[in-house]
Amino acid sequence: MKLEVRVMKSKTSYSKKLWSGRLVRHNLRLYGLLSLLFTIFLWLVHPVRMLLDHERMLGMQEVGALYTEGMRILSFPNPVDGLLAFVVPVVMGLVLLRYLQEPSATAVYHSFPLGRSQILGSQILSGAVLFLGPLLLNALVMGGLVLWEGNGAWTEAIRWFAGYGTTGMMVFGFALMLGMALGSTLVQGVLVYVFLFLPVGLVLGVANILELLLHGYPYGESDVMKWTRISPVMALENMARDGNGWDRTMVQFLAYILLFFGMAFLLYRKRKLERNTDYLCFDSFKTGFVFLMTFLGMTLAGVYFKEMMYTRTSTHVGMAVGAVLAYAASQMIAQKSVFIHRTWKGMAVYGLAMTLTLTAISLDVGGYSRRIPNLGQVRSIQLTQQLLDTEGQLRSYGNWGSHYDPETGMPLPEGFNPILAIQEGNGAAGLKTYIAQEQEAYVTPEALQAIWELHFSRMSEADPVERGSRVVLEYRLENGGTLRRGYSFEYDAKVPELGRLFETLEYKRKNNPVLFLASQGLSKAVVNSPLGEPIGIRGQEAIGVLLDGIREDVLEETYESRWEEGGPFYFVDFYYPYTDLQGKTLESYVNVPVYSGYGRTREALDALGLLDRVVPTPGNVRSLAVLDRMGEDPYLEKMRSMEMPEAYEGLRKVEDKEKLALLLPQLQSNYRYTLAGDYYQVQVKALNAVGEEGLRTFYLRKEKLPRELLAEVND
Amino acid sequence: MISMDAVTKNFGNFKALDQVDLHVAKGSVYGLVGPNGAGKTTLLKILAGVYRPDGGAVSVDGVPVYENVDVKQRMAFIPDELHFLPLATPKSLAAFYGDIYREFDWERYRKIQGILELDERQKVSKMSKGMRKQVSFWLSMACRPDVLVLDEPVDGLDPVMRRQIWSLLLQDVAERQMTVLVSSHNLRELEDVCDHVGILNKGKMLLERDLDEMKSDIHKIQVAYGPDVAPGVLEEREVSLDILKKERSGSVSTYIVRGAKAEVEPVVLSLSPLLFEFIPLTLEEIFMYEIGGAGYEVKNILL
Repeated sequence: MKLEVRVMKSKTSYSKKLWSGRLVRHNLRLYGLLSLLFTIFLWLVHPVRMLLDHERMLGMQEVGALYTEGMRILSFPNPVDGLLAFVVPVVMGLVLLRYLQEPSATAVYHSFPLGRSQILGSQILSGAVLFLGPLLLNALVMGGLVLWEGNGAWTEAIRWFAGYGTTGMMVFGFALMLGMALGSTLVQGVLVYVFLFLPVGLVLGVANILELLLHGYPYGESDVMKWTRISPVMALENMARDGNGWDRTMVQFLAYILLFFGMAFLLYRKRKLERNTDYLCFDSFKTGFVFLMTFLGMTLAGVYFKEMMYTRTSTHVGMAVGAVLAYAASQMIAQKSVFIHRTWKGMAVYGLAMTLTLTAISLDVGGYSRRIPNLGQVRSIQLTQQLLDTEGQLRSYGNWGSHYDPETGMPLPEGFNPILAIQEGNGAAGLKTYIAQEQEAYVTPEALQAIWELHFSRMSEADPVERGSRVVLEYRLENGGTLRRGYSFEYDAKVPELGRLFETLEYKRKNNPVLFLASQGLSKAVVNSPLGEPIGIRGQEAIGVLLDGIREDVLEETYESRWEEGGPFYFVDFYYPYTDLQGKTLESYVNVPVYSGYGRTREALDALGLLDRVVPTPGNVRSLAVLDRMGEDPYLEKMRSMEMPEAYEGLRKVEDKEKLALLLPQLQSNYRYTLAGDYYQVQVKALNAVGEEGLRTFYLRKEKLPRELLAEVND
Repeated sequence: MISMDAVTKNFGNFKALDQVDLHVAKGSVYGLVGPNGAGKTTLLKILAGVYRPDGGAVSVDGVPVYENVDVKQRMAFIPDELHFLPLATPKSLAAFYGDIYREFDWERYRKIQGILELDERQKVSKMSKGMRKQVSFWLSMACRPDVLVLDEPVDGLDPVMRRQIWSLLLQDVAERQMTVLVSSHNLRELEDVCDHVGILNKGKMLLERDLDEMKSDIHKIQVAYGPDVAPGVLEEREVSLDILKKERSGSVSTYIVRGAKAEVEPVVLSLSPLLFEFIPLTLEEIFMYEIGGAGYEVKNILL
């Protein structure tokens, strides 16, 4: 018989079809239950919850609340959706590829008159229907609910579907692609998640270790960190954080879908079915897999040991241990055998290469640490905000607006900033300018010079330190390039070069919102007196006097004086009105720390007749006792000594007014942030603003205690 | 019809098939025999388009098989280890096969159902091994393939059902000129149904011949000579006789001799035997002697 004389049915060219409808129907019947469960779960999480919330919101008679709530539920990814988008598609990918990982099923499937592309196309289509079907159903219901409420954007349901669907199909494609190279469902499941998180883990891990090995390496802000975005997990996380990135992320995911499905088809074509129960079905992948896993193991263990002990030696030991373990485990997977002793040469070569590489990095063979641009090439310098922000060394101002509803004490709605709701003409309206410029780079010559000098000073310091604040300097160059370096600052170390930056006007404007306040329109000022009761100040003129005094002190303050303070003496809150989302007028405030060295502020209080109600003076202080020198934990000591009248009575006290007049002006802070220096804790029995007697705690540097009183107050 | 030329298949360093040639004419029933590990299943999976050969060519009517959907439309494969789509019943499987095989014949499906007396609504996973085997035949034969590839096809079937299945198959061979390539260790059964046989050993095709021709080329003879003829005189004539095996029981000697009957007979008769007769050889005996010659034989070891 000749093939060509055979009567062929002309309706279909089977070889050209991308899927088999019957195979798809079979898959839907087989795994439809999984899809049904997914549908019900989504139904409970979204439409049912919206309906329940609808009843609740109607009860509260809050117009627009349902809309807001609905949008929150519809936003993607919320935690439940985000999790399911990474679980359900992987399960689909595992069950739909099981035929490929069982020899008998493989033989039967591939003896059918179906091409491999047609089989895979059918599995993809099945997975798409099983996953997208429930999503579409729920999206339609939710869109309908929003329309029924008559308050809004049913298109959000479409966006929810698109976001969820794209993410899920991308994960599904990834699971299929990996499954095409693997011969075990278990290994497929594990490796899908390993590789989904791998880019993030590797980049973070490498950057973390480089931070220790390479002086000046800017962990957390490095260029390499952007590589974490290639991970779908990070892309989704970014999308969740930045709603504006939604469309961009969708495009990225669509590209991934094409890539993953395309790779799956390609691998399927190359896959040798007689190898279908090997953990790794492609010999050509084995070497790459083993060394990738070895590098991953080395990095993870290195990071773990580094974080545990924070020394180079411990990190190197961790890396070596992790590399050996990961090499052994991955060789066992690749060889499908526990007898891997013959592969020791690979480990030896890897070890040698890594030793050379790490040595080169530690010695900074490439001169990375020494590469600093000349100031003439620099357009601006950005400092990360964690710089100088920890433990209040420089940014202990804390002078920021309240984000709590003053009436209910509840947090303001997420994303709502009362400062942005301040009306023009209000004295706090300048805060909008403050917000706008706060995060911007430094541009003035004096600030650039100070930062540049600061950079040189850091280069000569040993780095990193265990207790420190990480600072990243980002130079933006005239030629459009950027250069970043990161260093650690010890909390308690005095850095003169930092002082030069601190005293620049630009630094002060970036860190002191009080400089942007005007007395017009402010509703009140509240002095949180260290003696006990807060004192309210009303009237534009009185507020203006206090505000001017504080502003002058902030502008004149030196690094040296700040350094000696240890912490603020008290705080002043400047209140301003704003309009909330419902159109109601509320108040928020800017909280400004005042230090003992703020002379203009003291004069302002004096002019307002408030000095005796705020500052301890011989007039309002009954007695004073100096406790022993401070230990390592000022907060704990403060807690132990405060408001214990019985204990206070047993102390040696100073009651003589002349001696008090000598001692009281030396008191430095009511709150102590820094551990640098030797301090005395001072207990004061004083009258508060309403004439009640109480014990208050202050701090005093050892050298500030008047010599003539030293013997008297110190046991 | 089926043609495999110099087919090679390696599993890592292990050579499963080494330059194997196999040719099956249309309408033929070809038995593939060989010891365990000879490469029979590998060869069948290559023919069914499951495995891709590392070398050589596999074709049906001159058209390559691998990843060729049109050729596979004309083939059905029943592997040694059966697999059915999960949760399937014969009915749902028939619908599936009916959809993907253009020649699937529902009338024949119904006819075979009447013979096999299986419940088409019963889940295949709940059936016995023999019943599942019947289902695979049922479906394969309803596809009306031109080529049927069988790996240990009747393993697990009772004798009556074996005969029934073979009867159905041979009916298709006779009526439609279906070609069957079957691998089995049940040589007695193959002998009844095959017209051609190939013997595979250690990945190499030892021989492939028409079964009758094969039988005509190897003989078992019993000979007894008178007292004037010294025992073993026939062996001395090995120059003209290819004796594969010899046994003596009293004055009667039994020989397995390769060669045409017309060549053997004169040599034996020239010694004027008292007793001389040709005894028919079974396929199993032929297999044993051929394989034995290739270094795979039953060892007379008592444990």
